[in-house]
Amino acid sequence: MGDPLAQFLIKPLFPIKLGAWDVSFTNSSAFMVVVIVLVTLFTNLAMSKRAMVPGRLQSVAELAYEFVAGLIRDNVGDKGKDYFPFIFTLFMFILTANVVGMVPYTFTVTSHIIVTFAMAAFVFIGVTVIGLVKHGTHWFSFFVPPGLPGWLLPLVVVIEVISYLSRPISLAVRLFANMTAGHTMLKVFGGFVIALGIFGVAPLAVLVALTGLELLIAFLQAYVFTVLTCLYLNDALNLSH
Amino acid sequence: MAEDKPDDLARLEARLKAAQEARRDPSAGGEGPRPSMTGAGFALRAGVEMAACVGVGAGMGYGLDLVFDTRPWLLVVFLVVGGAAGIMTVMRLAGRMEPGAWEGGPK
Repeated sequence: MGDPLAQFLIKPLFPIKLGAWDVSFTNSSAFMVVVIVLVTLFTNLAMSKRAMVPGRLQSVAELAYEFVAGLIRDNVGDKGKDYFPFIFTLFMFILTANVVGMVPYTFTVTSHIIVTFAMAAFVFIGVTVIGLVKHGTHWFSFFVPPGLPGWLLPLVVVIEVISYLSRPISLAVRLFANMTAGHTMLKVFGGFVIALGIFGVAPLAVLVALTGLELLIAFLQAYVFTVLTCLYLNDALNLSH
Repeated sequence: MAEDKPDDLARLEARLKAAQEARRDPSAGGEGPRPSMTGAGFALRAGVEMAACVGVGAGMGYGLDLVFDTRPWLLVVFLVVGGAAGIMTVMRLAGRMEPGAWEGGPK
C-alpha cells in the first residue's frame, strides 16, 4: 500500500538557486501554471465567438460569470462591481485547481496551506487597505460595537480584533484542510482496493461515491472562499456604523 | 403582421425593465446585502472559525508574553479571550447576533 501522503510531496522540476533562497520550479508551480493556462484558454475560447445565442462552451463561461456576479451583487451590492475581476479570478483559480487535483496523477495546488494562506492573506490585507482608504480612521469604529457600556469597551475591542485577525487563518485552513483530508481519504481507500484482492470491490464502490463527494467539495470550497471574500469586502465597503 | 411589431417591442421593453428591476433590487432593499449560505457551507465554516479564533488568541498571548516577559499569564488570559471571540464569531454566523444586538447593553 502506497504512502497516502506521498501525493503532497513537493518535487523540484528545475532546481533554481537565488543566493540563499531555493526558488526551484516545482510540481506545485507547474500545476499552478497548468491551472492558469486552462482558465485563460477556457474563458478566451468560450467567448471567442461572442454569439448572441451562446453555444455550449459559451454557456458555461456565462454561467460562471453570472454566478460570481450574482455573489457580489447579493453580498456586497453595487459598490462591489469594481472588484469583480479579482473575485472572478480567485474563484476560477481555486475551482480549477481543486478540479484539476481530482484527476489521477496530478498535484492539488490548494492542498498546501502556504498556497491557501497566501491567497487568504492577500484578501485580508487587500480588504483592510480598501477599508482604510475608503473610510480613513473612521474604519476603526468597526471594532467598537455601538451602544456599549464603557467598562466593557477594552474587553470587547480585544475580542473584536481577535475575531478580525482570525479571518485569514480560518479562510486558509478551511480550504487546505478540506483538500488534504479528501485526497488522503481517497488514497487510503485506493490502497484498500489493492490490498483486499477480490474483496476490494467494496472499497472500490466507496471510492466511486467518495470521488463524487470530493467533486462536490471541490466546488463548495471554491464557493465558500469566494463568498467569504465577498462578505469581508462588504464589511470594508459598507461600514455599518 | 404590421401590428405585431410594436407589440413585440413593448413586451421586450417590459421584460427588460423587469430584468433591470431584479438586478437593482438587492442593493436597493432596506435590509442591505444578506449573506446566503448552504447548510453544508455553514457547517464547514463554524468549526474552523472557532478554532482559528482560539489559535489567534493563543498566538497573541504568547507573543505579548515574550514582549512583556510575563510567561505564562497573558497566554492564559488571551486563550480565554480567544475562546470568547470564537463563540462570538460563530454566534454572529448563526445569525443570532444581528448587528446592533449590543444596543441597550447586556441584559
